[in-house]
Amino acid sequence: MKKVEKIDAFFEFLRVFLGIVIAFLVCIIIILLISEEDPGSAIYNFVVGPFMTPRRFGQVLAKYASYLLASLGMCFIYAAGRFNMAGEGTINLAPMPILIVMFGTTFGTSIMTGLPQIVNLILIIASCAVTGALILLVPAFGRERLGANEMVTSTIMNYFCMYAALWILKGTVADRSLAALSTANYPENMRFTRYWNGSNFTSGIYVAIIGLIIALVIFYRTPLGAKIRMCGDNLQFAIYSGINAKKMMYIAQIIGGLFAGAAAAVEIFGLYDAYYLQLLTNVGMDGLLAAVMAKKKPIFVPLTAFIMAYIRCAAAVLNANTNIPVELVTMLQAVIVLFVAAEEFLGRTRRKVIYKIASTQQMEESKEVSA
Amino acid sequence: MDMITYITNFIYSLIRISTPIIFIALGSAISQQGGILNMAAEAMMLTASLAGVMFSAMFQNVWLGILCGMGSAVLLALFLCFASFVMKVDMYLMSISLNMALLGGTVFVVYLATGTKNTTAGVVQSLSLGNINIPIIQDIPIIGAIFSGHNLFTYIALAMVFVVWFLLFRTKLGLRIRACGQNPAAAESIGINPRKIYTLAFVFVAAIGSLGGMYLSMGYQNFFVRNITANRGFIGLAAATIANGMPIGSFVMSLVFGLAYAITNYLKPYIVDSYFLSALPFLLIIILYFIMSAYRAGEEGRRLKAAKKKLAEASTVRQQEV
Amino acid sequence: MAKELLRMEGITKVYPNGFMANKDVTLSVSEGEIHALMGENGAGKTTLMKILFGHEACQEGKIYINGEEVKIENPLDAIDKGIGMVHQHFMQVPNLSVAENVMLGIEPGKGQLFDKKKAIELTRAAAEKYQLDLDPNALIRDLSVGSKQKVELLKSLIRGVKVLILDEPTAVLTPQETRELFAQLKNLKKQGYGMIFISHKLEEVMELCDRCTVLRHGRVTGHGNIQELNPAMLSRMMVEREVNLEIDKAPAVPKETILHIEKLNYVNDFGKHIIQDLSFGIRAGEVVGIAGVEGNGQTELSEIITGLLHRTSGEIILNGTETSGKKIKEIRNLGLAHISEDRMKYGIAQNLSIRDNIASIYLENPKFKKGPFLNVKELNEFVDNCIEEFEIACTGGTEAVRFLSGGNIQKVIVAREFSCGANFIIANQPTRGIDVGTADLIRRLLVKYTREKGVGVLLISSDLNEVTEVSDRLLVMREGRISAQFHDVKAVSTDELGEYMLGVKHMTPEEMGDLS
Repeated sequence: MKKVEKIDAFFEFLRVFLGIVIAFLVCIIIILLISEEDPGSAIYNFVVGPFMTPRRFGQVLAKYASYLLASLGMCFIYAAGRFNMAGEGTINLAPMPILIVMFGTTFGTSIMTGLPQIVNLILIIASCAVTGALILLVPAFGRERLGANEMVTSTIMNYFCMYAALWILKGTVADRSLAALSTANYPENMRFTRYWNGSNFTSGIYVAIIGLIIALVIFYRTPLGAKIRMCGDNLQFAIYSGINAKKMMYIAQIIGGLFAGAAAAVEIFGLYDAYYLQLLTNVGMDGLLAAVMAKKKPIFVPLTAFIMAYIRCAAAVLNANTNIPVELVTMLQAVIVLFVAAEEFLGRTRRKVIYKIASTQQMEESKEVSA
Repeated sequence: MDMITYITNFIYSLIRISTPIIFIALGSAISQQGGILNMAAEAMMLTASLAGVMFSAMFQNVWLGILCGMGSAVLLALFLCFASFVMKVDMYLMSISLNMALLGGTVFVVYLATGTKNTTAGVVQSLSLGNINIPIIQDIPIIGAIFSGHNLFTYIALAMVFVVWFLLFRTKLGLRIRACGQNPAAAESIGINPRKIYTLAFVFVAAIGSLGGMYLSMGYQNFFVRNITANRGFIGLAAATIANGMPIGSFVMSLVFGLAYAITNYLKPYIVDSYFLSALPFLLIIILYFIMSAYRAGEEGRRLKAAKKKLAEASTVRQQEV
Repeated sequence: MAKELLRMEGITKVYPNGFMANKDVTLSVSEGEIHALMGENGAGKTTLMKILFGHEACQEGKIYINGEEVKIENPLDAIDKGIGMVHQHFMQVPNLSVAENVMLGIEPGKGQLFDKKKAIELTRAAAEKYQLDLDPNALIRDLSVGSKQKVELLKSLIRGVKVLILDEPTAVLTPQETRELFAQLKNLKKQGYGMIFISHKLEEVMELCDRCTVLRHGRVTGHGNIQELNPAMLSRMMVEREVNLEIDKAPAVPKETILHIEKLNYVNDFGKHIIQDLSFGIRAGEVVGIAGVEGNGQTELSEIITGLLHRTSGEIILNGTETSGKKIKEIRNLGLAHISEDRMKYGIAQNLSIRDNIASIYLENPKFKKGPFLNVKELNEFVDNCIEEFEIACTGGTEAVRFLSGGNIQKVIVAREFSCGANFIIANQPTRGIDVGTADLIRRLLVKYTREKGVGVLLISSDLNEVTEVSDRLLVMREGRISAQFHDVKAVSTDELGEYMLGVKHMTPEEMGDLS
């Protein structure tokens, strides 16, 4: 029994690891094929580029913070057996209420400017998180109450959120003196502090770390987390055990929304100086993929979110230094998903190994019995 | 008179705007009948849209280009089926990552072909289908202005409504798709392999959906730009979902969403908040979807209740007889 | 002598886990004959039919059709060779019409076209030919269960099969529908079809069938012409008590009533009256066993008591509180523990750890909470104690349940349910399909808890050894009613019990006495 469990875990790991390696190899081959300049430096840029300057690594860590939060939230939704993807739209829409307060009310323009940064940041995060939860509640309500597929609703929601955010931006908080559609720059005490000489690495990382701790505690150390996991693994069992499954589904999606909202706060008030048009961040979708790679287990998210952030930045570095477009990365992600989520990838070998162990174990047992 | 011209122009553009949505909605209706959401709609349209442009430029033959565009979308669908049914990847997960991959991947290819990342215009000498005036009808006032002079793709889209209806309800494959959608075990018990049926269904989904992508790059305009589909794939999917996979319903829903877009376009000059208008169609979709879901859930409940009542009555009658 | 349509000879089937499902089974069906295949659940009927219908392969044995030896690879192959099956769970598509369902896979029409008119015509013609009263245009979802079964029959008949397998066809039918089905089957018999009728209802077999074969533990324990047999003989072939389990137990001292059921009724979604005016009670300190052939309402009874299913009418009072309208959690809090008969469906979450599986009903227990958090230390200790006390063979509390054997999975469930301090335990088939050692442990625990902790136990089991050995009081359930009660369980002979279970005998209310 012991051995089978270990082999099982080993193959799970191998699948993820090989998936990433294969995806990278595919990328390197593509780079070799299309690179007009020195392919060696292109590959160098791609593989170690993100670590070379504080600026680049700061970008990795900045993305890491948002991905970590978005992905942790997605783990809850995914673990409960739902596929609510409105996290992407949340990144766009969730900052709106606080932006309105910030730029459109006297509270924002006169009182908030005088408040300590920490208080403002807490206000920002709380507002974004609550808005995020409300956004994710829409597909959740459709699913649990009306039976509308949450995948369809949340996908459509994402576009609605994007345009609604732009509408609010243009109608209320945009700075008309600027040529582009954008708010004025955030006051210094209403954004996360940049570290490393103005790199994108900000104090948002603390939010991510606190979020990680909260997520781990809820997921593994509270009755709530246990109930969500039970609902996701075997709904009938959860009901039989006396768990209110419908409530758990709502709560899981609300938690997902809270985290997505927090990710929005860290992203929008950390990486950027102002909220502007065309902020298509991909944080929601990349967060989803990181959760898939982590197999819905928050404990692995710190690693998978980092890989996602690293891949994004590697492609950006590559794009800046060579002729290879940043879009390469989206294909890389598809290859990773293909291998990581493929139950049959290495499936035959795995069954063979497990069968072998089981049968030798049985033989040994029968020997013992006869002896 | 001016008012009438205005209205006819509006209806004309409504049909024009709805064309790509009709295609992908009809395609998605087939998979919906098979019990699967066509989450990869966006990827299929993007692939075909770019492949059609590239191949028509290569062969300098528009029909060959369209065929290749269709073929590439079908290949994509086959890959999706391979990943889901053989490699056992969650189908929706693979679909979502394909959407993302193709959104970037098409840009990647455009860049390789042209050196810029935005469009193939001016560099790739692609071909397109033209507008067609229908004899007789074009001479009828109003009706001619509405129904004549559309792109050939639009007429194909209208014909597709019938084709998909026919496929689903008048062919053996259609019957099997519907059977597998509702009870794969029943199909399997009489020797039908559901995975084979799903794969066949997806070939049709991709072939029909691909026309929607190619309308955008080979009909409405004659070049590819990045994100050319602008989430029409998802709107088509939503149309098919709301219509519960019925071809005519999907068609009507596509027109409804096309109408939302058309109104948006028409009002844009008069309303400052064009972004609000852009958000409206999506809001409409969600509301319609929720209303239809609530209605269907209620319907199902009423049906069950009625059936139970009937059975209870029948059994009391029987007991009295006994 | 009529022509022999089908002959299965010397069929032996051993599953990879070493379980021998069939041993040297021989069965034949002739033209115009209805052959009953009888036996308790787990006797090997289903496996035998799966082999015949091509779902499973056997190690030894031969199948002859019309005297020729054949190999049956899959269900399609079976149908081609003239064998059709009416599944107990209908294989139908609810939103398609009767004609479409019947014709699925053999659709009429040129090339790829589906000729709907012809399909309707063919269906109507076939329905008339076999005197099945069906509207080809009706949607399946609107049909009653009886009509659905007719569709299932027609599906096989229209494919030209000569031998029909009917897998417990009456289990889902109302008495009226059963009569109708029998008329149809007799009609088919006249037309020369051969049928295998799987059932464990004696009176049905006596009424309908010509010959019968009885299986027990995968072996043929009897066969013969129905005319030469009587119900008592059949019952004796089916029901047995092999070894005498010996459980030392002190005499029960029943105290106050814990569970009281009064006039309980349940009518399922298809209008079948599953539980009828059921009344009985369970007292502290006693094990009440319910014996009965499966499908007589035991599953529904246990699900209604635990709150998984809603009753149609009647009272259930658990520890002085009426449970109607209460949530599962509230019923559990009244003092209920539940071992479900479907381990994998209700009992566990496979991918979660042993700890999580044990903790599932303790999540709101103040003992395991520290503020809003789980008291992990306390919980781990508790789980470790459970593992030790119930001898669960595992690497530790964090091991995922899917790596455990069936017996150990059941121990996890038992550990969870027995440790929660409930004073009423409902154990539905608690030892089915698990190893002897674990089964013995669970039986001893049931007795121990009643004697030492004053718990009341309701034991539902189709294992007669178990139910007679463990119970202090034994009820027999048949067709949703209590048909017998025994106070002196050890004195009941298996033959007698079997006759009550199969409806050969009934007790009057006076004979049964007080049921509470």
